[in-house]
Amino acid sequence: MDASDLSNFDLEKLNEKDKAELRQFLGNENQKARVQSTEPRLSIVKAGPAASHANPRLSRERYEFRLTSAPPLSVVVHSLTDMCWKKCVTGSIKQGAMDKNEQSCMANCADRFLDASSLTMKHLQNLRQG
Amino acid sequence: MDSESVKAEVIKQVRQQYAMTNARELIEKVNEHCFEKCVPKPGSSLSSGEQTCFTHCMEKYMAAWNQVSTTYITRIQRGD
Repeated sequence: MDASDLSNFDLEKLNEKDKAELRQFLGNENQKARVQSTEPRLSIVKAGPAASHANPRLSRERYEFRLTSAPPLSVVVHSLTDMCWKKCVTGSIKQGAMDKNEQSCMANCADRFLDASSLTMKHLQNLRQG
Repeated sequence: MDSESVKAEVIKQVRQQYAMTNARELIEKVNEHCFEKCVPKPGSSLSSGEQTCFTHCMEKYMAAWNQVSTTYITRIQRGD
C-alpha cells in the first residue's frame, strides 16, 4: 500500500488499539490477496546488481532462478484467463455466455497450466539437488 | 476525525483500491481481446454488428474469468 494514498487522513489520530487493528486488517488483506501456497514458487528473473545472494550454480548469463512467494491471486487469475481465452475461444462471438465446450476448455486449460508449472518446479528442484 | 473514523476510512480505501486494481486489469484485458475478436478490420466507425459483438464478448470474457477463478480457488482449497 502506497503511503501517499493515505496522506489525506490524519493517521496521528489513531490510538494504539485502532493501530493494532489496522495492522491486523492489512495483514489479512495481503494474505487473502496472495493465498500463499505451501511451497514458494521458482521464478526466473533478470539478474541485477542486487542478485549476489542467488545460487550461482543456477544463474545463467543475464537470468537467474529465484524463489519467490506466490503471486497475488488476482494476478494469477488474470493471466490464466488471458492465456486460456486465446486457446479456448477460437470462433466468432455469437452470444454472451460460454458454451459447454468452452467452459470445460477454460477449466482444463487453467488446471493443466498449473500442473505443468508445478512439473517445471519439481524438475528444477531435482536439477538443483542433483 | 476521531481514531475510530480514521480507521474505518483507511479500511474502506484499502478495499476500494484492491477492487479498482482488479477492475482496471479486467477492463484492459476485455478491450484487448474483444477488439481483436470483434474488430478485425477497423472501418470509419464501429458498426452495430461490432458493437453487439463487443457486448457479447465482454460478458463472455467475464464468464471465462469467473470460470478460471473458480477452478483456481478449488485447486488451492484442495491443497496443491
